[in-house]
Amino acid sequence: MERHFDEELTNLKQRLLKMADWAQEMISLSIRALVERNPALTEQVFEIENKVNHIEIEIEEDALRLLALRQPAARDLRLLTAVLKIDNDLERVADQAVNISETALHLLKEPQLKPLIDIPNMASIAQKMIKDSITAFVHHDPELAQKVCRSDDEVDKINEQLFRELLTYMMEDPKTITRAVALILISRNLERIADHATNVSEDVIFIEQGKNIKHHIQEEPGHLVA
Amino acid sequence: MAEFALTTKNLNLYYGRFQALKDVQFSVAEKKITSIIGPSGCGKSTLLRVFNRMNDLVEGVKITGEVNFENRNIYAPDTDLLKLRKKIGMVFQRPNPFPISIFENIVFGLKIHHLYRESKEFLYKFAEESLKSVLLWEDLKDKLNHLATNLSLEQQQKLCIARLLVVKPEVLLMDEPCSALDPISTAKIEELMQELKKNYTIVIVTHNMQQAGRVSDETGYMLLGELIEFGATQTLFTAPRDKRTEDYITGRLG
Repeated sequence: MERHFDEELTNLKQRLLKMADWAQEMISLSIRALVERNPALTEQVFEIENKVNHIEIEIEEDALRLLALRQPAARDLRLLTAVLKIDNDLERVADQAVNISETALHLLKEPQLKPLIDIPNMASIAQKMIKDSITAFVHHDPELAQKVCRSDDEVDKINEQLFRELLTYMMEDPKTITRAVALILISRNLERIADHATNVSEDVIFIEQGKNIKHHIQEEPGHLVA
Repeated sequence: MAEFALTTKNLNLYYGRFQALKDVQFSVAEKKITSIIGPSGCGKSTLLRVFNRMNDLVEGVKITGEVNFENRNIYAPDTDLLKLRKKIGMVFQRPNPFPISIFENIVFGLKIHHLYRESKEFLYKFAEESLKSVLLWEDLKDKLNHLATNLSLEQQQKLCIARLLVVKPEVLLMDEPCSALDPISTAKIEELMQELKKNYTIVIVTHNMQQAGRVSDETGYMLLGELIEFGATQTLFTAPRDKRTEDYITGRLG
């Protein structure tokens, strides 16, 4: 039986989808600003952030309203509580993209330290993780969500390897420190974005299967079901 | 593992040719609140009434399987029904105090169980204790001779519970105990249930899923005479295992 409630839930989901699109665009623009050495692109990032902030509040208010008025149970309840968390994660992704843009603006005032390979690579993995986690959310696909969780290890590895590499730059020539630290910050922003995508995927698994896989909590005794 | 006050085994119940309960395995944990939910006609009230053999009065009823209470099958032929119903009492949808005084209502149970030989002071003490345990004493202590049927519905329902407690039952069966009450009275009865849980085992049938969620430790979902799912209330309302339970509690049934 189709319920009026389903329409309202679909509406919420569509807005989360839109928010995820914006967040991905912000990542893409920030990294392009850095790689193409084009500071003008960051202006768009700050504009989109405004929209993300507004929609975040809207989604939160609507989810709260539905929780209060519909008193959802089972899957509906898991969906609505997860929507609140995903809303928050996507807003944090947008914040990280803003941080990347701000750092990029400083970096662009100085000559390039090294050719950028790892950072665009990380950015494209992180973006795909956001995209896949939201696709998994919309298409009820816990397997895709699992895949996203596994990609997180890859991003962590690149982040660590880049950190080591930039450390050698700084040790060899202290004049590179400012720029190297800036790149380390950006690398960490991207690693955080991947973490948020992982959170979203874990929420998708919770919605679809009713089990909490965060921090491998299912493997501990006493946490068999949600 | 919790101790069980009541368990059923392969329980089937027929009203004539109609099978109202189908192979139900149900267990009620001691000093917990167990709720039974399900759409109208699913057999939840029938199951509740099985526990103190109230269905015996229905013509053409046939019951197979076991219902165990205190290590005995209550459907064994030598069961003393008066004793059984003293230990397993029932609260109904509409409060049903007798049209006599509040005091007489409370001590009524003592009378039919031949415990009425005590002095007036003793009975008064008894009335005080039971009214206190249902949180009515302060309101009613000066009105014990008033007619019970003039009380508010909430007070009447509490009085009916007090009337049960007098005979020291083990289990309280409640069939939609709040459906005739407004939300504030409902909240008060629910509070009372939490108090009573410390000393009694409670089984409640309710149409109100939020009520099952608020008050009970364990919940069973019934559909067409079958117990579809039974488990911790939290699990049933957040992550039910059965699609049919999910459809019912999310309002998709039908």
